[in-house]
Amino acid sequence: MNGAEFWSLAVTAIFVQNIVIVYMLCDGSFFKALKSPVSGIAYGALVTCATTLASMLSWVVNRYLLRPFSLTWLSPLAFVCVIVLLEIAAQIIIPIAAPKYKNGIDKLLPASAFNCAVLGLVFLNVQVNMKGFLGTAFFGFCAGIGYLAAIFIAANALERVRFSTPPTVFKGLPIALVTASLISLGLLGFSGIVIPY
Amino acid sequence: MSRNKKKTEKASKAAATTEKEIKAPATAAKETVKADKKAINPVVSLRSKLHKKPENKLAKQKNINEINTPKLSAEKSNSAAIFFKKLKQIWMKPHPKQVKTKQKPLKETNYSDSQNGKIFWHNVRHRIFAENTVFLKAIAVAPILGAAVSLKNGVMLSCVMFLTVVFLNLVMYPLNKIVPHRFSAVCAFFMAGIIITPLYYAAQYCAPSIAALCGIYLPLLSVCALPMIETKHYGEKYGFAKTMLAAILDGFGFAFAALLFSIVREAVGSGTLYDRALPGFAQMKFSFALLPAGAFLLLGLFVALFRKICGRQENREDSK
Repeated sequence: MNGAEFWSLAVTAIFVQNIVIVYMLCDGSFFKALKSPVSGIAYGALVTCATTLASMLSWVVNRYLLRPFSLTWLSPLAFVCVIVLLEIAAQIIIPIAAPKYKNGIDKLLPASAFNCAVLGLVFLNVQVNMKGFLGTAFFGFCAGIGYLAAIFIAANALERVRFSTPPTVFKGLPIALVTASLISLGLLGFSGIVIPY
Repeated sequence: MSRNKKKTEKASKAAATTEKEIKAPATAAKETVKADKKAINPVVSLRSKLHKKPENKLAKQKNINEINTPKLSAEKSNSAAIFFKKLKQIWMKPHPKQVKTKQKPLKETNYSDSQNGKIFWHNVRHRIFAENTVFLKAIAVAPILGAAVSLKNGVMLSCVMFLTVVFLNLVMYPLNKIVPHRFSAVCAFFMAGIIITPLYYAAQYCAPSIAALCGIYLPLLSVCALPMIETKHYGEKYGFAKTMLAAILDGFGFAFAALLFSIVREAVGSGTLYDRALPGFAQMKFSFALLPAGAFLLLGLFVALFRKICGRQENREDSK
């Protein structure tokens, strides 16, 4: 894979096929992360790590375990097991490697791993057939960056909306959803774009 | 006559009280005399001492031996029980950051049968509408936004999610008592994966075209069912029957949200309902509702509408 391919994968993952705004792989934890910027960025970073590692491991499992032995019917359970192993490894490694951040990350770890975005991205990789191990890993990393970008954009937009005093019924979650719809309208211009390389 | 009767009653009462007053000091005096005799008369105390039965030395030694020698079998069982208790405490030690949810104690009152029925149906309606998992708690939003494009998809999502939630609660109720709190989320996700796999392939077998339209959002129901585990929220306060009832009602709440959302989205976006053209909507269809932007906007409007109906305001527990 050359630089142009990586560039096209990056633009595709962050803008054209953003997992939050285009595929709508967001849940309550995404809207919770919008409330505080610091925890939102930390949560986005953890999701990026989770998407990258999950993409890599799921590609290996799919390539060397599920397809050769015609076990594709076990793919939901297999990918769930991959994410579970990642979570257990993170819970063991992080207190040893970074004990200072253990208390802050402890609550965010399960929310970042057991996420619609991570599991949905893994299934997307299997369907779309990325170019090899590197392509899948890079797509997973850029999808996480796209998730982080979505948090950043939506949080900034919501901060402006709070000053405009929306109706009481729309305060909080409804206005966040309306803001997300406007952001997705903006990214609608990227739909259908195929960047040649 | 009545006055004479009262007089005689008073007189008899007075006589009874005087008799008691006379007797009381007499008995008290007798008791003091006995006590004095015992204290004063040393002969009596000596006699009592002399006439004591001789001490059984052998019995004493036996008792002493029994006290000194360790009761091996009883102590062993006690120590083993203590050991296993400590082990259980260490194993089930709560996480230091475990948040204790403040829950109101469940009131137990004795209602009549008709009142019990009314309260039951009120709680059912409250659980499905006023505490709707999708519209008011933002749980399981991704499948509804992505896949609830038509009524067929909504029915498929509702059936799979209902079964996932019920089976997951059924499995996690006993497991939550065994598994430590630190690994409960991991265990729950693993069990959700085990449950969703056969349901996903049953859906593909029964309705392959609808399952293909739902795509990746069907397996995602496993992740979306995790916040609906009742034992995570209520712990041991809810028994097994109440936990299962709450899980069933949560499933019905999701089904209600999915069906309503899919009906509106299909009617407005395609002008059809269950692939049959609607008389007024076919001409003024608005395909924006089928796009992600339309999905977010529609969900935002539904959330605001339900808040207005149920009288809810912005809360910290808005999204779980």
